[in-house]
Amino acid sequence: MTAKSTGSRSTAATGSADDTEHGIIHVPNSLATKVGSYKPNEALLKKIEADVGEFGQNYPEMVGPELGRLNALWGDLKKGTAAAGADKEFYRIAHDFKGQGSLMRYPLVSAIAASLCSLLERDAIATPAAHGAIEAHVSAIGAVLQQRIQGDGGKVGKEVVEGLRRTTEKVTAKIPPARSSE
Amino acid sequence: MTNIGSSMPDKVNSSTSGDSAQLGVLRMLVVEDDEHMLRIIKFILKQLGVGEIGSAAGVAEALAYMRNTPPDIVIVDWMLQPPLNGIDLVRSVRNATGGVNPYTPVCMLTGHSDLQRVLEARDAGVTEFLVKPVSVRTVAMCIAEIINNPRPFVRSKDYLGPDRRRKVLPYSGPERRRAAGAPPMASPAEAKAALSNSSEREARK
Repeated sequence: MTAKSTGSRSTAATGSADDTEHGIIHVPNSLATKVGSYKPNEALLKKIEADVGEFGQNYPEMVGPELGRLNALWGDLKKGTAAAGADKEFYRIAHDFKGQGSLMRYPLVSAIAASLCSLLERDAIATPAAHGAIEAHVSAIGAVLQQRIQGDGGKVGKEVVEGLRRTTEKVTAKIPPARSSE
Repeated sequence: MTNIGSSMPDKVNSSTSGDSAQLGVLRMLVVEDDEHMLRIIKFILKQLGVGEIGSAAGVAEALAYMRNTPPDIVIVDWMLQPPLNGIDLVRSVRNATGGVNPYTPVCMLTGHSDLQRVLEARDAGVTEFLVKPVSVRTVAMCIAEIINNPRPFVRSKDYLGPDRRRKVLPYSGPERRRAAGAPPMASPAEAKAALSNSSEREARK
């Protein structure tokens, strides 16, 4: 059961409504009834973080097929021989790397993939002048995984990310804003 | 469904303690087509103690799951296999008929936190956001927020979803939303003065 009430300037919760009408629906909090007040246990969070990090020990092997696919797609895209939808798949893989890396203790992968995504969101594939920058990102992701560089990669890692960021800024400054890929 | 423990180190399958039992009554659905991300999210939920964790790779599969085994909370990635994405799932849930609970809390997992996307997700009826890269802590805090601070729902002509206002804040500017023809509204200062005068009149009676 849900309790419905009208808002301060509303007339009905359902049915026809003009732009000023709205209804407030107070849904019973069944989760609080089931669970009670929930506060995550700090010790448990730390333990899970450690476990996830351990899981990440095999991250380079886990994502080996995706890295291979990323390289293969890029090879076809830069030659102009890619199948329809290859650009979207290329973006999806980069986006997945962005989401996974940090959680698996490979934040460099996340940072480089995030930079690659921002390039791709500016239609960089259709811009030959941006191909060098894309290639640099793909190579960097591969290098981090092959050399199993966890954490921020120290001074070299920071320099790599900063270099890619500057290159991306320079390239994207010449490309007009484009579609969103997500 | 993915076998959560299939490729985990032995250590991570050990039992947890503390609040793990608390979440044991929950059933959650994770909608994610990236198998690695799905495995990580499910692993985190399992270690947090969530009792039942379902998974779906796409919108149709998720809706079918929700009809058959209504989850308490849904986590959905924005980016799913085309043509439908996480926003489409949220819209489907909020407009759902035929067995899907439209009030199900939905947490949107997204790699983007720019305002345009946040507004789009909010307007679709998303309950909370999880911005990638996620951490164990952000997942746990998202669940805590949904349990501890549920939002009432708002139904209007073109929206059904959680009330977008998290806090009621004092506001001293002009009232833009006043319905046409309605009498002018008092500013907070005027309202306070009016209430004060009214109280004084009551006291003098």
